[in-house]
Amino acid sequence: MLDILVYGTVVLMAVAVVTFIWYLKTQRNDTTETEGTKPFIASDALLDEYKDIYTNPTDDQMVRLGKWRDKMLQNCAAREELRQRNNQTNVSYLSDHRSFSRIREADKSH
Amino acid sequence: MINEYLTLISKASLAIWLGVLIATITIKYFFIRSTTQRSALEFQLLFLVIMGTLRQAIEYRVGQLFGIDELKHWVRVIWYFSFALTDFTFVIFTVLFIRWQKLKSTYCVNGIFCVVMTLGLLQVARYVDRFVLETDQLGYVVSNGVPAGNTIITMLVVSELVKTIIVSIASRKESKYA
Repeated sequence: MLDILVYGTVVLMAVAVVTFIWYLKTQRNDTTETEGTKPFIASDALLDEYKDIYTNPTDDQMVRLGKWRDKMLQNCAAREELRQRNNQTNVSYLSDHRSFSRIREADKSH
Repeated sequence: MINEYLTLISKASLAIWLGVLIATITIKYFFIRSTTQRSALEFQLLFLVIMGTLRQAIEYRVGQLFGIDELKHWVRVIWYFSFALTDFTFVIFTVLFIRWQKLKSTYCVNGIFCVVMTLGLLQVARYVDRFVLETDQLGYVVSNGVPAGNTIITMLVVSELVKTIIVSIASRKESKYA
């Protein structure tokens, strides 16, 4: 019984360390890709949500689409704000634009 | 002197975390006008409070068994490893939950993870130091490290609450002039 607890904890410790390192390493690629004054959803997540609305149609599809549109508009406003802020700090719009992971991948493939 | 303060804050930490959790949720969902991306902090705090309660229960139950000679070894193992077990489970579960729900991380969230991981590793290190290597060198570090860790978490969550209050006031001013 005690051995199970001891060995179980050691295994869990190894898993926790690996999970924690993975969490810290992948942090830059997820929802924190932009740090505007108004936090917003990552473009990749929005795109996935849009695809999901059409690939998995439900009765409230139009309601979901309306909500998605609101989020998108909010994102546009926040991105505009970020762009203006970057202009003041000499960060070009292009570098900001290319901070999107999918655009980065597309650039690489060309 | 500092140790006494640390222990006091550590003892009150569970109640403070719960208070901050309730206050943060209330402010974010009732007073901040602009829609924001869901933060990982509220969920992390919730799991932290559940973990803290579980630890208090373990501490209470195992504490009752101190002094019984037949259970001496059993109590020692349970004492160190149950704390380590709850710490590691908390980290794994919360990280996976944050990734699954695509929640927004902050420095506060990362700081709490770092502190909890350190506390878990410290418990295992103390067991190895005391019963495997029998060097008995980490006693002071553990007895002060655990209250210090809890105090750091408390400071982090309180600072995040202050930040939320400031954002809330700013958001109300913005909407007033909009």
